[in-house]
Amino acid sequence: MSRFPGLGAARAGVARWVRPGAAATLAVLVVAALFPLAEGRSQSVMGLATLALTYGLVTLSLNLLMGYGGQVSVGHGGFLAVGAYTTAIVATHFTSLPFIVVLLLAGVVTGAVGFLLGLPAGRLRSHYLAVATLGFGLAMPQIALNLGITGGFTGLVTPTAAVGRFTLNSPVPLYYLALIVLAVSAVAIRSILSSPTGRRFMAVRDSEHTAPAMGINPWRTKVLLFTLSAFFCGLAGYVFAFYIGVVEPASFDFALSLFFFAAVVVGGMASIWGSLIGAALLVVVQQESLSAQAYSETILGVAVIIVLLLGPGGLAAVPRRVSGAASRARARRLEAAAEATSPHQSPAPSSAGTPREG
Amino acid sequence: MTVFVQLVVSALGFGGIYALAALGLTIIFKTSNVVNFAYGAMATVVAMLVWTAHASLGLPTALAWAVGIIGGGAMGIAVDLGLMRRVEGSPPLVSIVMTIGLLLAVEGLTGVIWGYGPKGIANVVGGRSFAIGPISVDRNDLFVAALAVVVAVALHLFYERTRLGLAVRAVAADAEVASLMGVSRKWVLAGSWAAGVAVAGAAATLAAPSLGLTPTLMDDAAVFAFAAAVLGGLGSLIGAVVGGFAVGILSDLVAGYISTNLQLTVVFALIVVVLYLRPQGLFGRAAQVRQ
Amino acid sequence: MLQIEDLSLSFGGVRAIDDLRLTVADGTITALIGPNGAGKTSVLNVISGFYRPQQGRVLHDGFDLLTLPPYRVIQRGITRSFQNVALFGGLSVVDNLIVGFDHRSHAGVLRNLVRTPAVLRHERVARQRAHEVLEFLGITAIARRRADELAFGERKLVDLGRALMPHPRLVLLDEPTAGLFEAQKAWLARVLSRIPAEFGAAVLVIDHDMRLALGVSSRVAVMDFGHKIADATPGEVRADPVVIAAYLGGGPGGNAAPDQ
Repeated sequence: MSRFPGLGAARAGVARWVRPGAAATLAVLVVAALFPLAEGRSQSVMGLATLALTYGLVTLSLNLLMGYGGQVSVGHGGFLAVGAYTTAIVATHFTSLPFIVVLLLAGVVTGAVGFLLGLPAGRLRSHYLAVATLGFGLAMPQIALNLGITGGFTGLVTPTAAVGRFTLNSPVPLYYLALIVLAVSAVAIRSILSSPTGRRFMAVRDSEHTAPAMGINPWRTKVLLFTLSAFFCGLAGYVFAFYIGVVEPASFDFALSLFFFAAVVVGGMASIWGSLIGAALLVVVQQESLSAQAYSETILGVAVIIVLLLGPGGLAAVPRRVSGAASRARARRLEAAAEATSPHQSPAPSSAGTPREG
Repeated sequence: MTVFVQLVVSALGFGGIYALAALGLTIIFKTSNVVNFAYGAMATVVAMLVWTAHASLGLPTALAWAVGIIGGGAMGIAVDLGLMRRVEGSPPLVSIVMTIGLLLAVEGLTGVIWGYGPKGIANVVGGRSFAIGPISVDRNDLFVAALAVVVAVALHLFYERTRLGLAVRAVAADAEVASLMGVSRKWVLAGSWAAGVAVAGAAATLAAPSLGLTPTLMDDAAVFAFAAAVLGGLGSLIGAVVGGFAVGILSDLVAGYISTNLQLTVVFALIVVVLYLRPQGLFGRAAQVRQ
Repeated sequence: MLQIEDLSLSFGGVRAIDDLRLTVADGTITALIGPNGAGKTSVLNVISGFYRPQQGRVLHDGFDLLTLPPYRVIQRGITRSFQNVALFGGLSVVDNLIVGFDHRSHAGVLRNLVRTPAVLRHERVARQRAHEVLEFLGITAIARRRADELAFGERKLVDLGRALMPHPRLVLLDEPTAGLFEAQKAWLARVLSRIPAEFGAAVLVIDHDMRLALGVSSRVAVMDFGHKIADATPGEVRADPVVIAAYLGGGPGGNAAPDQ
């Protein structure tokens, strides 16, 4: 078969990020499912695990926006607030609604807010977009502070809700709910990403200027992106409402949005597993520095800076880095050996280059 | 009517602070095209330095200010040379992430070093307020507002009338040409960062008596300052000043007529509306904004 | 058939295109050549909807393309490549190609999410088409590579491939050989000349490489300073003294004469 001259060989794929195969994913799921059998009795441990799963969904939604969509949000705490408040309000006023309806409502309402934010945001360049989302993240809790329906300063108590005979206000059932919502959302996002919609997001991310030539309307794409990201964050808000028990403005301070942002960057942009790693890291850092917010901020801030200086990919890219470095070292050794044994042969063409054009 | 005028007048103080903070942001943006999300936190460090020099080390006010300003400038240079230079040439998202990481790190460290208890710090200009008819005017507010205008004018003269200022603008427009003029891009950028942080630091120190000197001093004010810069148009000095006073007056009116708690929300709504209708702000250049 | 009528485009005080009239017949390859800054890329940008001219019409089978926003042009079967080869760096080569085909799928997010039969069929057809194009271009070996890891020549071909994906009726190519070395240029010329037969598409190609432009096309239009100074067969253009003068004499940075 004829080939384009100077074509580099297909590189044996070194995985770009942590990308466990189906088997590993299944293993993780099984462990997660069985986890309460070991730790179910400890409320604090179950609570932390639930928080990690909830944060995981938030970082996943944020990564969809930033890593896959190329946008910026420094205010995702605002979406979480909308989701949580919607949950509390709806559950309080419509006590007989099945949990799934309230859950979906939390997602849909938050998605609608995301849509509204996306309309102007889709026209903005990065700096301006960051400032706008910053304002959004701060404004949501402020609005909650001022409306009667949201309970003002004291907030709303999340009413009891039940799934079958399990009540969501106790640790283990809530954990399982969080796990299921996260798993289903991750699958859904995966599915979207490998479809024309997902490709459209990434096309706009990588080359917004040329995307229209392929029939893509960048603004509409970005509005959809914001809507979806907000939807999934809203789902997280539902779980969060039960986790915190009382939904009040103070639960959604500015630092929280920054933490989510940091978690996505450090865990790895454009990587589903990276988001989860970032969320887990966030929970650990928050817990370890419980006494002083200052320490979590410092650690996360420094982590973001280090990650940026080391190069893209975050923690999720570490395996690639390590195996990449190893295979490069191996390649060098082989080349050196080849040269040593046959000094008169020209070196084998590397796979990376075509000859420089004249 | 009197209430309205009074509200406007008492907004001068905060308007001046926002204007100064927005000026600091603008100085950095003009040359390096970076929105420094951490500058609120860096400004707070300056305020902390001033306090430490004055209250802990017993230095007189002027000297304490000098310590703060110089410290702030040094911090700006360190950040620029140490961090921002390394990620030059990357897409804008990278510099945003970097400055946000900085925001977390700096604010966190401020908390670690100085703790969260509010520190006492006095207004630069003391004395009672005086009255103009039924309106009472606070001396310190007047001082701050005047200072903001003075700094803006000084900067304007610097950029437009001095050779160094011209060189700085040249670097912003075209670094190659600037180096032909014998201007080192590296030091112009570093200098801009130093100046930007120093000016913002002044704003923070002036705001500290009213807002309370804690590590989170500039959290809310930073948003107002961003709003001011965006409203006025990123990169425009006059925009920063006009924007600053506009935001100050608007938030004071909101506080007076509606509720103090809705200030941020209204300002946010303002940012969104302005960015939607006129993304380059009042005085900014259109080319920079849309992708 | 593409018909450009009385097209004029100015930027500030500069006339980039001056009263241009040009026709591209179905199934033919037309070359648009001229010295640097002659306005050639601007013509492509107008056709594909990226620039709005002050005056003129661009008729595709009688339909005025200028009424369309850029993201609708592809639906008329008109695709293009880019001078600065903006591929979607984070996607694989195959995915880059498929993006060129995705506009065929009218499924929204929800249907994409649950993967309806129509969606699955689209994916299958798209993937198949991508491999056809890869084979046609001779770049099957790099199918799985990430676009931002490709060498320059490889990128240019993927850019071209992306434009060929949706069975286009007209392909606009902006300097497809710029930056390639000799063997690659020859390959590309062979590929180009086969496009009308293989895909039934007409081609409008801009290039500096005279041998290629005059070699593959059946019609050549020459531009200089925004207006057309010649429009004839390759042989006629090669010998045209006006054209030769434009290249050797007038403009800044003397370019090679057409017969070199």
